Amino acid sequence: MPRPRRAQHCCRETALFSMANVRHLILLLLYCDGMNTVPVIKDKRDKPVVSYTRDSVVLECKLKYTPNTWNWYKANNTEKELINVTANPLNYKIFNNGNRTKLTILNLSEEHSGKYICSAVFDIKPSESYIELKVLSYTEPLKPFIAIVVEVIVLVTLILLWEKCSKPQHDSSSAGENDVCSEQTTKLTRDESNGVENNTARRRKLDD
Amino acid sequence: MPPSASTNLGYTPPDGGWGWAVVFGSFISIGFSYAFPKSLTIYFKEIQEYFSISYSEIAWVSSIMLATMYAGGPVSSVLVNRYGSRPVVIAGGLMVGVAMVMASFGTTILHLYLCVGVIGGFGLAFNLQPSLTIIGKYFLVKRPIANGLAMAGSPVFLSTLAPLNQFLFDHFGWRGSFLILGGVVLNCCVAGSLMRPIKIKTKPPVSKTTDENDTAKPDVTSQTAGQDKSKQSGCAAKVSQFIDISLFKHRGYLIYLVGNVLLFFGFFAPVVFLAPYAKHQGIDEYSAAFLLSIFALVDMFARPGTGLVANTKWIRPKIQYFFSFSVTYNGLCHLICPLLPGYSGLVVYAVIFGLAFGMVCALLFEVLMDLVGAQRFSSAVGLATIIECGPVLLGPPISGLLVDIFMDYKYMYYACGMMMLAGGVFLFIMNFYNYRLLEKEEKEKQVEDRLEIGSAKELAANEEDKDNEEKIRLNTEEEVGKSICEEP
Repeated sequence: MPRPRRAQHCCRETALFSMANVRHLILLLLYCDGMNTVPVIKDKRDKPVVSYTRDSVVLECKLKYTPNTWNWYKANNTEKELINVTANPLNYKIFNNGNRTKLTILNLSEEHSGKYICSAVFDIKPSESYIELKVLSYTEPLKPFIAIVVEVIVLVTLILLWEKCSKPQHDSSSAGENDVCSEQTTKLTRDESNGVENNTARRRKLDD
Repeated sequence: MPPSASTNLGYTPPDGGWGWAVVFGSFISIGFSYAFPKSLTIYFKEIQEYFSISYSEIAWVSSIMLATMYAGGPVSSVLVNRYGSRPVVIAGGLMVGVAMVMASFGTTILHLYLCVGVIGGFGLAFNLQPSLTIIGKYFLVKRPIANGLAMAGSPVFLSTLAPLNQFLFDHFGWRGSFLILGGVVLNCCVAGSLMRPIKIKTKPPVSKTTDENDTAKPDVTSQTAGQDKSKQSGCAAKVSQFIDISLFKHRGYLIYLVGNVLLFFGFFAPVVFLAPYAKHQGIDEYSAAFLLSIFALVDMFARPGTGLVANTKWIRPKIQYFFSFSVTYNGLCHLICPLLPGYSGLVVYAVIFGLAFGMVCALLFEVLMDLVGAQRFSSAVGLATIIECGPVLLGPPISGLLVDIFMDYKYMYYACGMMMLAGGVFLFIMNFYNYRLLEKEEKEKQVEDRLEIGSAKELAANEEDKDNEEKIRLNTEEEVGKSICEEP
């Protein structure tokens, strides 16, 4: 994709100012251009990517334009350490596909936590963005899970116990609001007694 | 329609008391059943990156879950007919919980399809059907309100699960979130434990259920007993032991099914496409998401509100018309949506649509209970969901196809509006016809009853005459006796 001239023009002008870091430069480029024809890394995540030990994770960077090449760095305090796939083929895999790049880290451990910087190398200046990775152990989500399971068991036990305890009370009481059993029986007895009354009435008539 | 179909339960439903706790349990179960598949979409992007698959492959997880939830309806009905609501709901809750925990250790997308999609879907099906069935057992007079309140679980849970899922995702990633969600969904077991089966002593033969004796049955779902009267030979008899397929001869039920198939084609797609449509109009992400929140909020209050309205003495007898009206209103709503300009237009549309959606959802199962009665409701809803499975699954993709072909959302809205309008008009006309026929049948039945009563009265009059004759005879005998005695 051809690089937009306006961006180049803008870049040249702003490059005169010395910026503290690359991100500031990118923001200024945005401002001077006003539109996203500037090669800015899209889909920047504010929140860290979370993964687990012995698992793998995929970190992705996307851009509107295709850079010359992509580089991945791991930030160690203030330094950047280039991730060399050929040196570590078991742990790292980089997959570049035009305007997007994916870094796959296998066999995660807690030391892999930290900031990862993807750098899109252009002629003028590389455009960079960072993603934070957090590696947790499995005990982290296990704690809330067990807490919830305990809560469920307690509630179910309480409800079933309450039902068992209130059952003998229902049997002994003659009138309960939601006791269909006693309602039905009283209805039945009423019907029966009506029938008995009718019979006695008829018999009484006969006896007269 | 006179609630004659509903009173052949054989007992008077409590209409209160523990019934409200059961409504709360159903609220939780229904909430999880409808909201859970939709809320999982938050994790799709990361899972898609993790497994390096396309969006449509990950979207299958939700589709499979929804499909199994609907297809599992008959299985659920059979189990409820046999064992009652409580064990089925608890089993369902356990199934979904275990499925989510297993999914959190998944290594391939197929693993997710099986765990979340199939097992999870079945578990949710075991939650949905029994919750609806047990409301029919506990309520009769206040049933529309109970239904409305229980169905309100869906928007409430969607509104709570969506931010909860986002929170879990930010802190634990998708694996940890699946594990914790497995625990959260176990609360369905709590809901199930609230669904106390009704213990009644059934009356000796008065209604059709002649096989029930005085033994206290744990549930009045003696569908097996009721089926003995319609014995057919061969495998039809075996099937009818488990599920009532004679429902397919029920006129009202067939009308309901056809109307439902029509309406479900255009029912869910507008919800799915509301946010993308807003973004297409140039509205930013947060405002588009806010539209969905407005929609869910209105929906939340529309459902119990509709239940209250449906319970009034003017609407309850003709509740089928109310349902037809809400479906038609839904259709009209979608037809005017593309005409409303700007963000404020979309907000108005979200409010009206929320109201319409809530009305239809609240009445969906209430009208079915009204048609077939609580006894056969379990089988009815199982058979209905498996038939609705098709349009529910095909609706959004077809709408998506329309959007892709025309590159404009308004044709999709017109199509959905027309489908729902067609369904609503069909239901109106057929229900009018059905009510007329039912009134005629009722009149014939009354005439028959009067004849019976008339003949019974005749019998009683004959008996009285006989008694009078006996009296006269006895009197004359006495007199004769007296005169004999008195004679010196």
